[in-house]
Amino acid sequence: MLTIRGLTKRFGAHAALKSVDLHVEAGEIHGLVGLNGSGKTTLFNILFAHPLIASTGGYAGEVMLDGDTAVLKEPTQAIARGIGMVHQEFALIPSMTVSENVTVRRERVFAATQVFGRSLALVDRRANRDRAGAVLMRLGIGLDPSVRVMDLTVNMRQFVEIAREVDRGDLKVLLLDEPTSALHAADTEKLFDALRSLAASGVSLLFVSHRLEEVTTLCDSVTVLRDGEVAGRFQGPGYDLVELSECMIGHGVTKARRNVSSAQGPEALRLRDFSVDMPGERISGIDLSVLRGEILGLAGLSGHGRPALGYGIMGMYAGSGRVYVGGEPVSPLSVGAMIARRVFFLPEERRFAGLLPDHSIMENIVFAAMQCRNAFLRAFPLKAIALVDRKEARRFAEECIERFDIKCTGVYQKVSELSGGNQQKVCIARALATNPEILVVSEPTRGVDIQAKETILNIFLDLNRDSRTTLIISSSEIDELIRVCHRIAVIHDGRVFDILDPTATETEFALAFSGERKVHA
Amino acid sequence: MKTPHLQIPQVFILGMLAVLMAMAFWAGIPLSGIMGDSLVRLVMNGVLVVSMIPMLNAGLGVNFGLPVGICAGLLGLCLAVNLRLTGLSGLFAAMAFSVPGGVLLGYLYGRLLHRVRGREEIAGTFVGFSFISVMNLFWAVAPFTNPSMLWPIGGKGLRPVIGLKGYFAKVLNHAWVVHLGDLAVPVGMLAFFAVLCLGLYAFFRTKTGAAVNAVGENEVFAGLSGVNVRRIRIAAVILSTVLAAWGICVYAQSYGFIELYSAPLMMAFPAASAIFLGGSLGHRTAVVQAVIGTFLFQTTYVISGPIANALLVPEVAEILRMILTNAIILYAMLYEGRRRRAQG
Amino acid sequence: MRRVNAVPAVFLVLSGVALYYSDLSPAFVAGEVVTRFIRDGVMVLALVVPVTAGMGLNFAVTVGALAAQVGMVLAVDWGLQGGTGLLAITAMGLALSLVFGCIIGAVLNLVRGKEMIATMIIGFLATGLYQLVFMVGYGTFIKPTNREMMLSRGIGIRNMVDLEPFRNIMDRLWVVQAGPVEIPLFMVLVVLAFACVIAYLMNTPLGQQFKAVGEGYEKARMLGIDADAVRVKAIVLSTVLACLGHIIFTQNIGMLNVYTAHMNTDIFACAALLAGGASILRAHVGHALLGVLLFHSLFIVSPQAGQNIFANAALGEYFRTFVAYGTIAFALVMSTGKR
Repeated sequence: MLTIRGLTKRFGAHAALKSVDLHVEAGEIHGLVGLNGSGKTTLFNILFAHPLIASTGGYAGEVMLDGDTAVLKEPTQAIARGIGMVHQEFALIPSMTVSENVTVRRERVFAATQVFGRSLALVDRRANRDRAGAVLMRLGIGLDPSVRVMDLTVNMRQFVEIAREVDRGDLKVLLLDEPTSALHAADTEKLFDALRSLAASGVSLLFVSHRLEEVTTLCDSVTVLRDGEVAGRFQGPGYDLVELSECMIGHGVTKARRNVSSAQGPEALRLRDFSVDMPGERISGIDLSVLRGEILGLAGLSGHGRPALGYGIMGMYAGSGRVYVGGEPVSPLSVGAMIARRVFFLPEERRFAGLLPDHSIMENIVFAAMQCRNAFLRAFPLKAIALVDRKEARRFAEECIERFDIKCTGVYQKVSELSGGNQQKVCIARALATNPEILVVSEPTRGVDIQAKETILNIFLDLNRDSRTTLIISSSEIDELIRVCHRIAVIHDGRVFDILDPTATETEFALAFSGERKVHA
Repeated sequence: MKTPHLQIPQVFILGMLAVLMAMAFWAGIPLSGIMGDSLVRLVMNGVLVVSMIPMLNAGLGVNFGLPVGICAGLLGLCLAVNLRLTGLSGLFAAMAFSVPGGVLLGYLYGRLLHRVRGREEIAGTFVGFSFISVMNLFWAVAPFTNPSMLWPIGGKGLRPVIGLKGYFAKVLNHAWVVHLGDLAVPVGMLAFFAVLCLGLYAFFRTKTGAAVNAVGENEVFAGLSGVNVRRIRIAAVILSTVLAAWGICVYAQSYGFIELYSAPLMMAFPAASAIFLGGSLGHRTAVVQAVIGTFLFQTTYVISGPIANALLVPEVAEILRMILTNAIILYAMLYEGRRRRAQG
Repeated sequence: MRRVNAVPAVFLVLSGVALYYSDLSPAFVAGEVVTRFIRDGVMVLALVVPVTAGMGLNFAVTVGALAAQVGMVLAVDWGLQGGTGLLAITAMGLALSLVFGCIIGAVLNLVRGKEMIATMIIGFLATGLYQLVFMVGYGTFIKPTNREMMLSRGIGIRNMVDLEPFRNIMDRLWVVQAGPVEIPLFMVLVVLAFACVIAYLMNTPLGQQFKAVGEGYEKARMLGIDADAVRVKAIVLSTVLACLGHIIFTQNIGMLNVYTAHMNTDIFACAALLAGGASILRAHVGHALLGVLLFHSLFIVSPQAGQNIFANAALGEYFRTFVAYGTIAFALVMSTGKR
């Protein structure tokens, strides 16, 4: 029995969890759903005592197991209290066998060799093999325990991961993070049967998945998280999928929307049968056309392939299909080719991919333009070793600082010293330096305060209006997409599920997010 | 620009210098001689030290494979001596001769290092070590003809130490020496070094130089901004290798001898130490930091020798240098490791 | 799946060719190889555990060797003799290598991902400190009891210290004559015993933890393994084994080159391990044993082969340095992947 009271977690100024209460009975399967950044991962990290939590200042509130408060600072403590976790990325050791993985830290040893303590006793391989085999049988999997994990399919690894947790005699709470994301339908059924019988033996299960239909099939009850808070609780069986989705997305107070004037003009960007092999975010066979001067939103749950579009167009991951810019096919796809065709991509991980934190604002802003368009260089026959025209660069950077109201001490300040919102503005400025006609932006407002959010959205609207820049904005905040976009494409399971008008109802969005077809009235 | 703040190695070395200076004064060793010597040694070793900057800033870490570039330089030196070139023009010819080899070796070395990303330092160390032993085989059979380079008996294979007297020994040291009282300032040598450093400083303000810095800090960013990361990394290695080749040319003329075979084996370590000593740890290294680091390092070198002799244990100077060199490198690694841990 | 490692085959062929041209008698070479097997076997075995624990080649085995040397110098200084002396040396060496191992382990936990270069630097730094103590400290701060081993100036120990009281104490046990080859059976068994201990260790729960941490530091932590502590244990074990290995080495030689005996032990041991087919990510006892035999076979015959083929002994000498460094460089360049 797991009880959580007033759980709060801050990362700096940002609250990832705000006073969350949760109760899971022994033997209950409890679903946990929410959009990206709603706090599911943080909740799991706290429960499993991920070292990251302690190193970022710990958490507030209480986690109680069977009525006792648990101290959770490192995984060992969580394990000692009977908490187990099935990791999405698998905590398996590839070169060890299935039985070694299942019995790790609990190996059977020959009793006679225990003279120097258990950790120096001889491992009884046969006993471990038998035990692992038995556990797998209980999960309904006939698998040779002496096979190495690296020789297994992803499906089978998922079962080994679960078997390892089941093998512990003392398991009380099992956390499952997207355990079905790698499974086929048939194996999902098998897994669910195994989980049900595990619950029947008195273990509490906490199940996270982005596939709502699975959550509703499996779980006894569901808690919805939104922006770090509990947004709703649902009791099964017989959930209303639409209600659940709406609760997830939320009925944000929609502020003034743009004047929806449908974009006209020639086609700016076209994807044909476009697939990108980005691990964890695959897209396959997308057909999409974006008109010149349009703002297209990309929405969808994580794991369904939304981030892959931008990276794919820039050729950062292998893929197939065709990309046309202004009607001309681009092949092969590369950043250089795209910037030359005036397409620019701003990735979502600002600090890890979007900026040079240790460089000055000016250096960040002019970098891409200088590298790809030979801008901001002094005249010199050999462009590769032409000196940077710092006067011109400075002038442009100062212009950007003023235009976007970047709060800083000057063009030479390091971007790492800026706030998230101002960093994002620097990102936009550096994109504009390349003079793009098509700008692909990912999560432009993540980790940005409300005021800066407004400024950033306004910058996009101005750009679109004044320079007819085509924008593709990928965001998990449906509200802001509704506010600025002409059309919103919802990505589900690696495909464009539907393209919605911003005037579409919350229900329509909710349905598209969960991959349900519209019920035409 | 942030105001530089002192870190433990700098504080330590400044303290040590102060103690050594006091001891030198007490032992009656003239300070002006020490200053003159350390200026000479600054340039003598400085080129090797600054040669590490391109690779460091491109994110390849410390170039412990410095011997690769050094061997290219030795080849240039041997060619120049074989052609019996003398004077400053001889030195510059040696530097010019070492460029093609430096570029070629740098290219191959760069490709190799690109294979082992994340482990460049240890791989570079052993690529350097094994390259020296390959060159040992080469020196032993190389078809040079100038008898003053060859073993006196048998006349086959190069000598381990080739005297440059009569060719270009100390030509740069003695170019335009200005005497200020007791202090002899090697103005020509310093000017040469200044020009080289300015060139490197300017390089980092060019398009390619900016790309090198960006790749070193964030490869994904650089890639998404249209930089060919692999090409830039290899370019940085080539530049470092050619500069290292020039570095050994300057070193050899200053020392007066070309040292072949296993002599350059450990040369990367004091250079690495000097760069950490002056550099702000964990960030881009500016040319001026490398120069300061070299100056501090070489001053302790110059000053500790006579003091050790005065104390009757001459080995102590060498031992202290060894401890200092490696303690600084280890400190830099620990500092970097802690910084990475803190960032999670 | 797994690539076949061709390195042992290359060593075998090279040694064969070199043996043919060297004109050395196979019996002589075999005898030499047995001697080297005894001298260097344990040092090579010391490298197996850190590789398994994912820390790569531990070049800081030199620190273990230094611990042994400290023990020996002190024993000579205090005039200890024979078996008792050897026991005292072992006890001192073990105590010191235990402490050093913990320190090295703690340092390596801070520089995760760069362990190998760090162990090299640690080795150099330790050498410097060691030399400072025995070349400068002895006779100034430390008062020697045995004046014989001091340099004439009264400060610092002589370069060479005679280990007469301990020479070949163990080597003379159970010597058997296999045709023309003399085999000190006891010592061969000692090396094999160490090999067995390590092989056993790999099959204990502790061994499983070494493997788990070696494959994935973060994953091991998620499994509730104290990965940092496991890594420290691996390095302590390696340092202790290196110390024991160096004691065996020096008592076999019978002379202690105080300031240089430990140098390059790391390089030769690492090259030998890799010659046996290990990589920097994977090594087991078999690699170590096979590697010592192959590497030293080539080492013994190459100078003479160089002399006979090229009429230049130096070439063979350079060639074998190249083999040592080149094997390590090759292994580092070849084992890509992982991060």
